[in-house]
This record gives sequence, structure tokens and C-alpha cells, in this order.
Amino acid sequence: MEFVTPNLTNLLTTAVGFILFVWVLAKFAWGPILTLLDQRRDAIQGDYAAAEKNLEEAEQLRGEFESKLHDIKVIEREKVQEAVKRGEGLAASIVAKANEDAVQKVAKAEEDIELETQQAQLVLRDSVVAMAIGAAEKVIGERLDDQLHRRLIQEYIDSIGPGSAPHA
Amino acid sequence: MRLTPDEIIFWQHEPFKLNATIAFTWALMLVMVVGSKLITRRLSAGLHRSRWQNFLEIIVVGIEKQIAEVGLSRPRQYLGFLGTLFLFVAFASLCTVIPGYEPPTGSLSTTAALALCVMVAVPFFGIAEQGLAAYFRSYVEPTFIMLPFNIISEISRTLALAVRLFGNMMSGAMIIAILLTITPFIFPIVMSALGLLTGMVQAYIFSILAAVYIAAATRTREPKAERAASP
Repeated sequence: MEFVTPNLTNLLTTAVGFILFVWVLAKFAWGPILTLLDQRRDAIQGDYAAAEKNLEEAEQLRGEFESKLHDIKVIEREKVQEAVKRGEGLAASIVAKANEDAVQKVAKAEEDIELETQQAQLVLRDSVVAMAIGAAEKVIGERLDDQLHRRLIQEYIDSIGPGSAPHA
Repeated sequence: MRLTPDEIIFWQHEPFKLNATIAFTWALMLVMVVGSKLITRRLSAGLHRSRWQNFLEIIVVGIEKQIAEVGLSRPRQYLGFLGTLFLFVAFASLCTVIPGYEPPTGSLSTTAALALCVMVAVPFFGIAEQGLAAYFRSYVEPTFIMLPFNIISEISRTLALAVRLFGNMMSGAMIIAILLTITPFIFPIVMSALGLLTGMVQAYIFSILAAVYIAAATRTREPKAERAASP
């Protein structure tokens, strides 16, 4: 049963050796590896933080762009409304000018009609006078003094007024 | 048939005796120190890493996670001791594939030495965490009558640690040796593979038990503090 009895020398040698072994590995293996893992963890956390920051900046830029886009749309709408107003004003002024022109033309036409009417009345009156003289000469058979005759007819015509001229 | 590597004597000069247990223990330690030095020489913090570094990082992170899962709040503080313990026992088992090699964990002297280290480490970490008075006060809680039982518990679990590892490793080696004499082909290879698995499991159990003992020693006062904090 010697194999189930630990050799004290072996036991102590191994124990001391193992403690030294733990110390050496802690110095040459665990330390550097853990430092490395920490460095990598820090680097990953740094990258993650940078990515988060970039995402935040991107979100902020997006917000700014959306705000600017909204402003641009507002300005665009205002300009369209302004253009519509200007167009409406222009159309109104054109219509007003056209109306004015039309009124002027109507007035001028009425004036022309009046002049033509007056001229026609004069011509008609002269014609009526001439016919009346001719008819009177045939009726009385003698030639009246032309100047007197005309005066009499004129007085007659004047007495019945200008509106009665076409009927005479 | 040899039952323990203690029986293989390489060199003897009274009163000194260099047996296989000591020789292989120191050889394993030397190989692991040189290996770790070589691997950690070219560590890279960047994206491009060697396979060895990846493998090493997986092991380190895995051990750290296991320690944390046991309940130790600062696993890195214990990683040096518990990680080295696990790697040593596991490497000692893995090397059984080398012809002529005898695992030092098949000697009660080695397993007892490792258990002794755990026995020393438990109060060491307990005192470091709680302070000298608070740690030793835990031995007389809930009453001073518990003092001898707690001391017996400390000694018995150390013995259990040593004997469990020794028994498993020695029995594995014995089974392979017996099978070699009965069926020298194929079957011993299967048993050797099974022995590797057993060795890894034992390394895991040994380290986890050590972590549990340390966790128990460093958290003795916590329940009281929690009770005081609760309304």
C-alpha cells in the first residue's frame, strides 16, 4: 500500500514547484493575455462608441436636412403663391385695360354714329327742302323766290323739329 | 505492474531520489512555461491573429467565464491560480498519448500537493477578500461549536480533492495496463481515448471544486450583509 501513501518530499517539492509555476505563468502568460484581451475590449468599445457617435451625428444631420427640406418646401410654396397672386393681378389689370379700351371704343363708336346721324339728317333735310320746293313749284305754278322759299321751308322744318325730319 | 510513477526512479543519490513523478511534473511545468512564453511572444491586439492565439484566448475566456459562473465576482483575481491548476491537470492527462510518459497526477504525492495548494489558497483568498478576523470568524459561525467541524471539513475536502484525482488517474492507467496484457490491440486505444476524456473531466472537476471552495471562503459574510440590507 505504498502507492496510497504520499511521499512527503515529492509532495512538498511539487507544491513549491506548483506555486512557482503559478507565479511564472501569471507573469508570462495570464498577464499578457489578459492585458491583450483588455486592450481589444477597449478597442471594440471605442469602435462601438465611435460608431454610436457617428450614428448620432448622422441622425442630427438627417434632422437638419429634413428641417432644411421643410424650409425649402415652405419657401417654394410661398413663391408659388406669390407668383399666383402676381398672375392674378396681371390678369386683373389686363381685363381692366381691356374693359377701358372697350368702353372707349364704344364711346367713340357712339360719337361716330352721332356725327353720321347728324350728317345724314343734314343731307336729308337738304333733300327734303329740294323736293318740297320742287313740289311747291308744281302746285302753285309760279316760281317763288328761291331764297324766300328756302327760308319758309326751313322755318317749317325747324318748327316740326329734327326728330320729324325722316317723316317729312 | 506499476501502480504509481513514484516507482520509476531515474536518478538516485541518497538522500535524493529523482522519480518519474517529480521529473514529469517539472518537465510539464517547463514545457508549459516555455510554450506560454513562445505563444505570448507574438500576441496581436489587431484583427489578424494566429491560430495559437485564438486557441489560447478561447481557453482563457472560457476559464474566466467558468470561474464567474461559480459565483466569484472578480474572476480575474483567481484566474492565475485556477487557470493554471486546470491547465496543468489537463495537460498532464493529454500527454498520456506520448509513449513512455506517466501522468504525475497518477501519484498521490502530486495530487496531494495540488490539493495542499488549494487548501492554502482558500484561506489566502478568503483573508484577502474579507480580512483576517472576518475570515476566521466564519469558522465559529453560527456557534463556536462548529469550529472543529469546519476544520475537519477543510481537511477532509482537501483529502477528497487529492484522492479523487489520484484515484481516477491511477485507475485509468491501471485499466489500460490490464487491458494491454489481455487484448493488446485496438481496445486499449479506445480506453486511452476514454482516459483522455476522463482526464479532462477530472481537470475540470478539480478546478471547479477549487473555485467553489474559494467562492465559499470569499462569500462567507455576504448573507449577513444582505440580511442587514434587506428591510
